[in-house]
Amino acid sequence: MTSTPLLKLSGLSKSFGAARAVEPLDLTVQAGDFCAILGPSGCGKSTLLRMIAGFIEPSSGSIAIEGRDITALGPEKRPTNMVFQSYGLFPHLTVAENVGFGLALQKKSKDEVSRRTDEALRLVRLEAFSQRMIDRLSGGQQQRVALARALIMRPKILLLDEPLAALDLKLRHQMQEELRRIHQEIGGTFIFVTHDQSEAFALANLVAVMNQGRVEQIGSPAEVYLSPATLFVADFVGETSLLAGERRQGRVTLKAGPHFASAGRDGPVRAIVRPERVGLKSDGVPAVVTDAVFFGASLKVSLRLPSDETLILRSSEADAAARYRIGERLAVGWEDQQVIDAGPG
Amino acid sequence: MIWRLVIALFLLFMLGPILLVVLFSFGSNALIGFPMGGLTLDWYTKLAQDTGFHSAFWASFIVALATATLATITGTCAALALTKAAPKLVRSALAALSLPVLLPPLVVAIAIVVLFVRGLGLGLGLPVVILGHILVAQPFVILIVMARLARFDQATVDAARDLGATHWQAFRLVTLPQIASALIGAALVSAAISLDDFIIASFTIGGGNTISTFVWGKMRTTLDPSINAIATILLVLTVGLSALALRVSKYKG
Ligand SMILES: Nc1ncnc2c1ncn2[C@@H]1O[C@H](COP(=O)(O)OP(=O)(O)OP(=O)(O)O)[C@@H](O)[C@H]1O
Ligand SMILES: [Mg+2]
Repeated sequence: MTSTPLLKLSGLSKSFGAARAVEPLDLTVQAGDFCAILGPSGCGKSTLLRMIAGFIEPSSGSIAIEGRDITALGPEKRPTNMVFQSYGLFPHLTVAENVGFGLALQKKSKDEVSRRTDEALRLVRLEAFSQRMIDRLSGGQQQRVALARALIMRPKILLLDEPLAALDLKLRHQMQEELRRIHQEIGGTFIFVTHDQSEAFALANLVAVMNQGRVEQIGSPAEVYLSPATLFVADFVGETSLLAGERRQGRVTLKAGPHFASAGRDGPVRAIVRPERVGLKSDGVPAVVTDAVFFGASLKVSLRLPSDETLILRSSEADAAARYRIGERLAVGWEDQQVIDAGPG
Repeated sequence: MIWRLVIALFLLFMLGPILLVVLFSFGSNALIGFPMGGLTLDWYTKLAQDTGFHSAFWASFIVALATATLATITGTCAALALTKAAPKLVRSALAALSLPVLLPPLVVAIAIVVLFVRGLGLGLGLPVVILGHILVAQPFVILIVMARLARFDQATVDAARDLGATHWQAFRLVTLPQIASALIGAALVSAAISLDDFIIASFTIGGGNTISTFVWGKMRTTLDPSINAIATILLVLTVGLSALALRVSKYKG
């Protein structure tokens, strides 16, 4: 293996007129990575992905694949293929013709096209549907056709724009499994866009969190989850509670009461508290249960602190439902929090 | 019950004249009226031997074909360009393009003569007729094609490009097949507009006749049932073409 990364974005940005959709960013993706671009709606995820695919010309910066600059190439000349959010399947062609479209364009022999089409359809488990028209397929099946149509090209990088967003929850989980299986089976490099953090964590080994056109953090799911670089990441990723406080001479005092040692600059801070770390503590902070929602394996409890802030607690104990009744007054505490400097206010 | 009667009367009012035209074209009586005498194909034979009708028929055929082809091409290009333009521009462009639809045909005819013949020095004749018909038919093409493009999935074109198609290949293999039936519809409408027109043709044709100017000339001299025969031929032509178009466009775009 060489040291040149598979994909290298350098200073890549895009403005639409005066509006910055993507701020200059750097991103490096290695061969075999499953990379998630995670962020809320409108943060520029699609714009970034479409720049990599070649549909949007960047305002600045460059895109290199295996060290070769492809910034100026059109989408048809790039070794990338894309699964579109709305699939973009050809309604006038059958499933097999859709999947074979790219190879037919390359003037491959009929035999090869049909052999590889079968292969691709088998990979997404749609062998039985090859002669169907697109409008006779369910949403999940259409999704697989779009996937097969891109995979058959053996792209160096497969780009997926919210590929599962249109599917219902059950199908989404099923397709996540499929995507993971396919990624392992073909050993490819996937970059996918999502606004669903659980999906990003379920699939990716590399997560880039975006907010308002900026990449706020790039790292493994564990890094992003356990040590968020910014308040936004902390807030967006997972169900953390953010508690306001103040640091003075190496000691943080939270508005809600607790204080603890924490090295750093004096000034306002936020403490990040993970819901699974919160529990009952006899000498803890007084809290009132304001909401309790049962999620199969665990109970998610919202607590109101004296500072009027909300603290989320997650408990999978058997008697949780009996213990955390709405309106109940308790004393709670938590083990280790992470502290992030916050701007004034 | 009463509503059925109303509908029946309405249909009779609408279709009655047309049915009469068809019926009389097969009647042996030279006067248009009842009794119409026996059934005959005389009026068709007479037309078949009429060299004036021959040339009018071919002139109409050429004009309609050229109008349908050219207006569909130019109108489709305009529609494709408009879907990529800013919404504000589209609104004003559509308003401007729809003007010929709203203007009295007479004014359009005069304008065409002034521009093409007086202004640009083109001689009167079929080319000018065709230009005039394109002017009138094109807005309809644009509106029909834009309506189709409004529910066209642009992602299909992006997908084609992503899979290695050039702009042109993407258009030919993905856009065109999807909008084909709209284009056929637009071409038929253009042909119908062309066949239907009398005013522009009579202003710009110079010598010779299209079917409509031929009928007009005939109406002024003799009112014989061969006019009904011509009308019937036109009817069969347009209905037949539409039926064919529906069959050809097996994918309902
Ligand atoms: N062609 C365009 N012209 C002008 N502004 C655009 C254009 N495309 C996107 N934008 C703007 O750029 C920003 C980022 O858009 P983008 O589609 O990349 O967001 P996204 O993160 O994919 O959102 P979503 O999750 O809703 O798909 C948005 O504010 C959007 O309004
Ligand atoms: Mg998007």
